[in-house]
Amino acid sequence: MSRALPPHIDAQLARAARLEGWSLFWLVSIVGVMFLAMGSSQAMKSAWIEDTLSLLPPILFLLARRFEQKPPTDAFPFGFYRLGSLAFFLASSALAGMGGFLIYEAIHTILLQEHPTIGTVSLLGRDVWLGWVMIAALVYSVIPPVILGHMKKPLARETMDKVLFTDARMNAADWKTGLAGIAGIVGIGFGLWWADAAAAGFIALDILWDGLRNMRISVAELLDGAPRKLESAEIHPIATALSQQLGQHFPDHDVEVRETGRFVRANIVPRQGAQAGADALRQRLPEDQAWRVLAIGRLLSELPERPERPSDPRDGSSG
Amino acid sequence: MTHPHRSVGRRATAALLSVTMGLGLASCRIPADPDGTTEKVSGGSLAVGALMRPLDGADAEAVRRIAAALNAELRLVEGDPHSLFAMLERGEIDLVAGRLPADTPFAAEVGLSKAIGKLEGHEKKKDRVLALRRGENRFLGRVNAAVRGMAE
Repeated sequence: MSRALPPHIDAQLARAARLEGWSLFWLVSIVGVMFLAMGSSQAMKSAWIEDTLSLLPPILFLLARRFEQKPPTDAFPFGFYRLGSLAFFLASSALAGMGGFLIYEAIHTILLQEHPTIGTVSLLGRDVWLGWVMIAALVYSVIPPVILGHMKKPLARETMDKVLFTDARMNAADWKTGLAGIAGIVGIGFGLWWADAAAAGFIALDILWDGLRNMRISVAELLDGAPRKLESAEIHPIATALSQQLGQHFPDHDVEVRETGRFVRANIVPRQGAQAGADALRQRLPEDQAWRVLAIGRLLSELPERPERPSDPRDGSSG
Repeated sequence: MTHPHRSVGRRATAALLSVTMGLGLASCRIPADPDGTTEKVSGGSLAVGALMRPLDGADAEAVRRIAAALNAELRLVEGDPHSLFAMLERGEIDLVAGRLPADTPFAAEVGLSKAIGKLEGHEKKKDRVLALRRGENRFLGRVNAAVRGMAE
């Protein structure tokens, strides 16, 4: 069962893949520059970790794109549509965990009153405070992600790609991290030793928040929740529209709508309970395993005609 | 109509640029010392914890240079390493010197200067440094400037 994408969606995805390739290129350069400039600033370290973790969504997007169209196998008869969501969940957990750890570190530093030491480097025969180098690195670190983030957002909306959307949103908001980091370094510059840890804490909070929000989005899909909007945990209008349409074709039935990756699937189940039909089959299965058969579904090749009085399914006279 | 995304990006860039430029102007006073070591030492006395007596070549030269750069009188304080580093952390002395390697186990609690030379003997090839109070970044800059060229 091949599920060819409409050509315009396919083209958008190809474009998104190219942008993600560029994202990886710039991010690797940023991670390198930030690492070299990091020194002992905690805010820089938090920003560096955020930049490193932001390598994950582009990688996941590229992997998911490759795998979602893979034909089903005997071992995975439903295909690999949700591979991206699973990977996304794992990446979100990593994000949340790292955010929590960095918050702990920031609080620890403030409580112990550890003053950050930032020395000098010789550049072109002059002694330059490393803080200036860090600020330059931070400015560099926000420019490519912010531009790429704004370019990726509309593509994510059109292709209904959660990983791409989250990635675009995190990129587009990266200037906040940069600004917080710069504020931390400038604070050190003015002799406010706590500014660095405070900025680090702020960045860490952002990482934790991103992680938790992404976990919530991916958990909804992994638990067969109704399709969600990209921006929020609200149910997508397509779920309601599908339920209504199918409800008119199948009175006395419930419509269950869920999403796998960017795709939406609907099940029609008899309102009396889905198990009823499986009884005959259950008797033919080994006794100790039979109870596990919950429902049997069948894919429709075409929609049946609407029954005559679809608007009132409680009316007993319909046949 | 302005494109909302583009204007956010432009505003962020403008904010970054103005912050950077404003700081450029203030750069002569940055970085500062949270506890004012540079101001305290300048024209006063530079208290150096000596891990050995007398300080040998590079260490003696380095502290002499720093005292001269800050126009301060050199005052040597003796003691065992632990009490000297504890005094340094409390701000009772300004520097600790005496064949201190760059990978000293005290590095987590103090700031280190640039290399003032190499260590000889069994610790051959290791950078020799001075320890100063953590976070006194202006002072660190002055120290580094004073010992410049000593490692070559």
